[in-house]
Parts: sequence; C-alpha cells; structure tokens
Amino acid sequence: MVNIIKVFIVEDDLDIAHLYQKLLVISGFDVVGIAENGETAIKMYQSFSKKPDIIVMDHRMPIKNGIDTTVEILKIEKTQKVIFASADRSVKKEVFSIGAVDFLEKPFSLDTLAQCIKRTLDSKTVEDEQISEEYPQETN
Amino acid sequence: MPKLSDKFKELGIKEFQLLDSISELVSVQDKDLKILWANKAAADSIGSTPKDLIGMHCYEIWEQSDKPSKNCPVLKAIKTGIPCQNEMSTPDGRFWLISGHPIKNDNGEIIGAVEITIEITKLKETEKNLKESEEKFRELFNNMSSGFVIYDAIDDGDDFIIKDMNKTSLAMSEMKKRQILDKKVTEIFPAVKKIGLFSVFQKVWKTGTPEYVKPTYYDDKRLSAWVENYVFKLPSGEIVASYNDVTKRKEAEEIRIESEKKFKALFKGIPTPSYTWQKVNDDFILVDYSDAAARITQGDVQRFLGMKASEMYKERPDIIEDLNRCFEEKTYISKEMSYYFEVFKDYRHLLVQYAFIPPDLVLAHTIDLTEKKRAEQELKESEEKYRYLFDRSPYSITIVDVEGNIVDCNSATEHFLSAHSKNDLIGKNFKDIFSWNEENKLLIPIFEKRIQSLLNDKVLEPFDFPLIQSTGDKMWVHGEGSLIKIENEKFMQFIISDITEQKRAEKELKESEERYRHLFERSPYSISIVDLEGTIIDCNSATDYFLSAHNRNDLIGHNFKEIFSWNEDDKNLIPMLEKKIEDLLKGVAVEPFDFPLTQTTGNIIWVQAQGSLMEIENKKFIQFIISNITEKKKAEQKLKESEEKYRIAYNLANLYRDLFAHDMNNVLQNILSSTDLLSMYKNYPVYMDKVMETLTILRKQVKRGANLISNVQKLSQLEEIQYEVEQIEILSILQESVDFLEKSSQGRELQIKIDSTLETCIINGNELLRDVFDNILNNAVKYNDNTIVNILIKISKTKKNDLDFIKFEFIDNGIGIEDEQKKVIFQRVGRQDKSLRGMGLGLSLVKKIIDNYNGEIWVENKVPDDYSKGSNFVILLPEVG
Repeated sequence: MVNIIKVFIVEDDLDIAHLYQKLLVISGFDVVGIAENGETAIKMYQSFSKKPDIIVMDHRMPIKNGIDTTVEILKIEKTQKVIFASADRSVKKEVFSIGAVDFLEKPFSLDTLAQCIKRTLDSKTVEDEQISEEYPQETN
Repeated sequence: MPKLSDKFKELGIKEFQLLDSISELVSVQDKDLKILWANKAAADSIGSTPKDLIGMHCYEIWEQSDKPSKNCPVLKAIKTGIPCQNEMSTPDGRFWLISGHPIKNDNGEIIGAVEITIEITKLKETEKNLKESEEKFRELFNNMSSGFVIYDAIDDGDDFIIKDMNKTSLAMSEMKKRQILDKKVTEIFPAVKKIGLFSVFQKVWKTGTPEYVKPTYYDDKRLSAWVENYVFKLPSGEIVASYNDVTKRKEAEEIRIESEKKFKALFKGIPTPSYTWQKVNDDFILVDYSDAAARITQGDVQRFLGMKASEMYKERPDIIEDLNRCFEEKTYISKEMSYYFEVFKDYRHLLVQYAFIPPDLVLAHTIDLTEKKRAEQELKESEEKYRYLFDRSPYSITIVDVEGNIVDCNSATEHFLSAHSKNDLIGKNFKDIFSWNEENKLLIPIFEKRIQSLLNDKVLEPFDFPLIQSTGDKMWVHGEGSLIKIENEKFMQFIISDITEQKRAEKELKESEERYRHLFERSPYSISIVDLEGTIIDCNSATDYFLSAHNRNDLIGHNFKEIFSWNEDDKNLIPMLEKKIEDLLKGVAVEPFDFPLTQTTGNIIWVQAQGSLMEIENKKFIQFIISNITEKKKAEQKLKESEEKYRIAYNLANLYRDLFAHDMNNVLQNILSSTDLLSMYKNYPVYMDKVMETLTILRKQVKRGANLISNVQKLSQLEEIQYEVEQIEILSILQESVDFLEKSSQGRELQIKIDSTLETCIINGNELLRDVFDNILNNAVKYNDNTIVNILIKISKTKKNDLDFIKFEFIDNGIGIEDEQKKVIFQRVGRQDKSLRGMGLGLSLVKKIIDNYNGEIWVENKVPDDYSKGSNFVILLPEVG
C-alpha cells in the first residue's frame, strides 16, 4: 500500500490556501489542515497525532510570521520538512539558515509545488545538494 | 653583831682617836659652847693642841669674839635640838662650813653639841670666781650684738622651750622676756620650721655638732628679717641659737648686686664694642667687655680676658701708648685706626674712644666705621655715576632757580636749545634763551606758568611742545618738571626728551588705527566689543542693522540684556548669551553659534556669532562678530525639506516594493493557482462545476489587484496632493461598508451592531472614507480567532480642545493588539519590521486619510489592561456645524 503524502498548509490568504488544497488533492496529496496564521499553525501542529510529511509555510502572516512559526515547529519536531513560500526572495538565506528544506518564490505553479514536495521526500540529500549549490560558502 | 667600840677595843684604838685622823675640825661643847673635847685638826687650825682648847669657848678661838655669832649653827642646834649648818667666815678671811649636832642625855635633855667644821675658803673662792665669771658671761650674753636664745628640748626633741634670750634677741623679736620665757619656739617664732631652722635645732640637739645656717629670710605675721644662725649645744644639754639680723647687710648686698648688675648690664649693653682695661702694675689687663664686643669678635674676645695689653698688642705699641696716656693724663682720647680682626681675617676701620674710669680702669669703646666709609665711598661713586649719567643723558636735564635762571644743565641740553656749549646756557635766564628764536618765544608764557605751578607745590603733568632749532627744524619734545630742594633752596628740574620720532610713530599708528576703524566700520558683519558685565563698549554700524537700532549710540554703553529685552523673542536669547560670555571668560573654547534675531519689522534673521576674549590695555573684553546667515539657513532648510521628500519617496518606494512583493504576488499566486486548477479541471469533466467557482475566484483576485493599485494611487496622491473634501453624510457610507463586509466574508459568522445616538452626521470628507471603514472592519474579521466575529460600532458626539467631533468606536472581539504594537500600527510598515510583517497597507492609509480630515485615530483595548480580549479603534472626525 502506497503511503499518501500528508501536507499541512499555513497561509493567511485563505483563497490561496484553498487553491493549494484543491490542486494538491487532485494531484494525490492529503491536505491535513489549513492554518491562516502562525499561532493557529503551531496549535494545530501540536494537535496532530501523526505529523505531516510536508508543511507549506507562507512568509507574511498576521499574529505570527512564517519564520518564527517554522523555528517553533522545528523546536517541536526537528526532522519536520518545511517548504517556505514567499514573494520576498531576500528572506531565502534566512529561511535556509533556520532549517527550512526548500524555498518557493511566489507566484509559483502547482507543478512546481508538487515537484518540490516529491523531490524533498524522494531524496533526503537532494535538498542538501540544492542548498550547497546555492550557498556553497555556508555549508563548507 | 659586835659593837663598833668593841672592834676599836680589839684594835686598841680609842674612839676619839679616830676623829684625830680626819681633816674636819671636830669639837664637843657644853651648852655654853665651852669646849669639852677637840680633835687634832681643830687644834691644828689655830696651831695649838687639843688639850689647850678644852674649856675655851669656840667663838673665842675662831671668831675671836666674846659672844657667839647670831648665825652660829651650834648655838642653833642646842636651842632647837636639831642639827644646823651654816657658812661662816673668820676674820682671817677664811670660810667655813659649820654643822652643829645637839647632844642629849638619857632623859632627852640637851646637854651640849658636837661642832664639825670644814674649811671652805678655797671652795668659796672658786665659787666667787665662778660667779664673777658667770656674771661676766651673762653680761656678755646680754650685751652681745647677735641675738642669742637658749632652748631646752622637750618631748625628746619634739619641740624646744625658750629658756633665755639676750637683749638683742629680745629686741629682734620685739617682745618682752616674760612673754617669751618657757614658751615653745614654734609658738613664738611660727616660721621657724618653714625656714628649716627647727630641723637644725633637732639635729644639733641630737648630735651635739654645731651648725651654721646661711642667711635665710624669716617671715611670719609679726616679724620679717634676713637672719643668719649658728646653733650649738651646751654641755648642760640646752641648745643655743645665735641670730644675726642681716637684713640690712642683705639689702645693702642686694643693692650692691643690683647696682653691679645694672652697671654690668649697662656696660654689657653698650651698643658699640667696649673693653675694660685695668691698670695692674705697669700693664693693663682686659677685665671685661661688652656684648657687642663678643658679637663682633664672634665670641673670640673671651679668650683674651685676663690677658695683658703688652702681650696682646705686641705689634700695636700705639694702642698701649693710648691706654697709658689715657690713664696717666686721666683724659679722654678719640682716634680712628685700622684694626685687624682675627675672626674676619680682615681689617676694619675703627673709631676708638678711651675713657679713664677711676680708680684704675680704662674703658675703650670701638665704633666700626668700615660700613660708613664704604657707604661714603659708594655715595661718592654713585654721585659720580649720576653726574656721568647727567652729563651723558640723551635727555636735556636742566636745573633752574626760582627766577628762571639756569643753574646747571647737561651737555644734551646744548643740542635741544641750539647752544654751542652748556656754558652759553648756565647762568642765563630761560626767557633769554627762548628769545633767540621768534617761534620759541611763544613758549615763554607757558613755561612761566608751569614754573609758577611748581613753586606753588603743584604736581606738573608731563607736557609736549615743539622746539624750533637754529637750523629751523622743528623738534617735538616731551617735558617733565619737578620741584627739587638742594640744601633747603628751591630749584626746578626739567627733563626734556626728543619725541619727534615718537610723534611720527603715533601719527602712523593713528593712520593705521583709522584704516582698521574703516575696515571695522565698513564690515558687513556686526562687530561689537563687550565688557565683562555685558555692556557694549564699541560696535560698528553694521551692528545697528542686526540689533534693529537707529544708530550705534542706542547700543554703546548699554548692556546687551537691555538691548535684547527690546523684543520678547530676543529676550529668550539672554541666558544663552550669558552662558557663552561665561564660557569665554573661563577660557572654554566657544564654537560659532547660530540663533534667530527678531527685527523691529518682525522679520527673523538667522545669524551666526563668534565670540573671542581680547585684552586691551590689560583689561579683558569680549569681541563678537555676527554674520547674517539667513540665506544659508534658508538653503539648509530647503535641503532639509528636500531630504525629507527624498526620505518620504524612499519610504514610499520601499512600501511599494513591499506591497508588490506581498499583496500583489498573493493576487498573482491566486490567479496562477486558479489557472492551474482550471487546466486540471479541463481534463476531468467531473470537475466542471468547480470551473465556475474558480472563475469567481479569478475575478475576485483581479478586483483585489485593481483595488490594491487604487489604494497605492490614493496613498501616493495623499502624500503629494491634498484631496478635496466636501460635506458628506457619513452614516450611509458606514452602512455600505458593513453590508459589503457581510457579503464578502463567506464562511465567517459576523455580528455587527451599530449603536448611534445620531440620525445623521455630516463631516468634511470624500470617497476615501469608505476605505477607512473597509480597512477597520476587514481587520476586525481577519485578526479574529473566534467562530463568531462580534463588532460593535458606537457613534457619539464629543468635545476636545473646545472643538466638536463625531466619535466612532469599532469594538471587536479579535486577538487584540499589544501595547508596543499600538504605537506603530498606523505607521507604514517596512519589511524590516519583523513583528509587524503581514499587517499590510491598510492602517497607514487609514491614518493618512483621517489626518487629511483633521481627525484623529488611535486604538484602545476593549477591556482595559487586557489586550487579548479585543480592540477598540477610535476615530474622531470634526463635526460640521
């Protein structure tokens, strides 16, 4: 039996969150929840009996932003894979430094999102390589 | 016990024979004094035999009298029946001690007597001699010039009782004998213990060794005197104290000592070194010297005491000769001499005065004239020096008598007065000399006046005048005159110096000063000189303009505080300027400083002032140079404004970048995701019903994007231009906004209540008001975790600073806003502000719009002190009356 990949969406723009959800479901992923701000996301994450395989994390959100939320979630579960989604590419370096596995620059296509999730889960080293390609000086 | 007579019988001795062997004269007589028996000694006393004496009367034999003496002790014994004794003398000059012993019969009747006689002639003589001697000594004792007191010790020497006193001691004690005798010494002479004499008594009494007591001063309430004592012990045990009243002696001695001391001190204190020589045989001996002599020889004179003059002055026979002459002629000699002092290893010039002091002394006073001689020499040299200076001085020095005749002048004067030699001047009157030249003649009255002033003891101020020389040249001179006295005669001294060059320099200085004054006057800067109290001493004309004065006379002599008080605005500058002056005086570096000056026209000019401390003739002043920097300030202001615009533009650019990075990209993300979804639906007919839904999202996002662009436009227009306002009814706009929110918030349950006391309310506003309400209501929904979103809108009238406002309160049950965030939520959010990321453009636009309406907006907690219960956005808008 094939394990369905569980995705947790954290996005304050509920329209976008619902679009992600619809697209991911059609593509065969399981969307375990949508949180529209960081605080809610942390509460929901703590309530999951089974942690999601992937979290798609928006950057700008009310109450608590994506970076602070990611830091707290990784404190709870340090192996949690978090894909960061933001229109502001200037935060990319910071995002990797706090432990996110990938960065998607808005706007991105559903295909890009799906491939990113798969890539992240297929090979654990892939993201490491990607990171080292982008930031060779930091990983050395 | 055998009887004595029996013993005699045994020895063959008759009882009466025993009496023959003794030296006493023994006879037995009957009642009529007829001798019945006599011993050998009795017979021997008259050169007879005992037998021859029998039957004779004793008075016939020894007294050669026909009747017995009345005092006859034998007769008395016969009459009285008791033994009697008496001394008797016989005509041959012998003395006898006669004892009569009565003889009684068995019946007790007196029948006769035994006479025993002892010759006491020698004893009597001795006694007589002794008595005479005693009397002699008593007389002596009594008449001794010293006081003598005989004491008997009592209580084992604890005290002494006066047994006898001679006349002198009685006189000394001023008492009568009967008052004193048998009294205790401590009673009569109470101070005896104090002076130590009493203990001497005790000592002498115990040891028997006599002691001499030095004169001591005896003093009690009754007596006071200097006494000298000698205490000795008599063989009979009494002690004797001799008293010599030495008061007079002591006083005389003291007077002598005092007198000696006084004269010694006088001599010692003679200010000039003095030496006393005593004529001894053919020589003189140094016997004393004064303190001054000790000082001048540094004590060395001590070793010459007792030395002979012949030894001391081997090399100076002249001194010995002087001493001798003084002594022989009993005269006074005074002479100057040079004398070598060992201690100085140098000669001193002395004036020596010898004086004869009877009977055998010569006193030699020496006065050191070395310094005086030196001073004379110096004075002479000094005089020469001044004379030289006088002669060589470049100044003319002239001494003029009261008539104006030149008494003396130096050579320089020749040059000043165009004379060939000073001899042409001396003896001439100044009027004659000034008359050599017509122009100089004019000086005569001036000098006459000055001479008169000097003669009236007035101080003459120095004066300058021109002297025309024989060459016709004009020489400027500076004259100083003073009154001098030479041997009580009045003269005037004039010192005249050539100041032609100085006059020229002064002229140049004046010209230079004028040039600087010109610069000072023409300077576009205000230059002012202020004294330490802040009073303006001088200033240039530019200062008039700066300080709004008609002319500088309004400023000079006035304190800057007074000047700055002309205007209320400038008054505020006084403390600052005072501080600057204080700093300058302390030597603190004061940087140029700017301040605005309000002019009488009301114009404000900006000036920059630079202060510096300066010294003019040892007095401190402060110089201020003030320049007009109004133009510079304006340029600075423009630059500042330009900078502000640039900053705003920069912020705006940041804001726009932020907006596009987030909000616009979210719109685009929506559109992209929607199209992705549509593409997928396209291949799956089952999803066809979802297509319409997705297209709605697409439309909504396009509208959202358009709104965003519109907001940005509004905001940027608000930054740059003023939106026009008109009177609008606000409640209907609010209702529209509420209706729209309810429609667009699908999936959220909203409870919105408007609580208004007003039916209509008009404000000055425009279409942007809708954006205000939309934003606030949207936020209330967006930042809310509750299932049911509650919003209460309260509308009321209020007053603030006497102005009427309409008050809107949007009270929600959202997540609330922390106090720190309340301060910044209305600011445009920069992306660097991490905590506020995601808050969007909304509230900054709202604030900008409200500001545009001259209104106010702020946020409070729904529940005071607990922000988490929800927020209350308060808006005040001015009511249109």
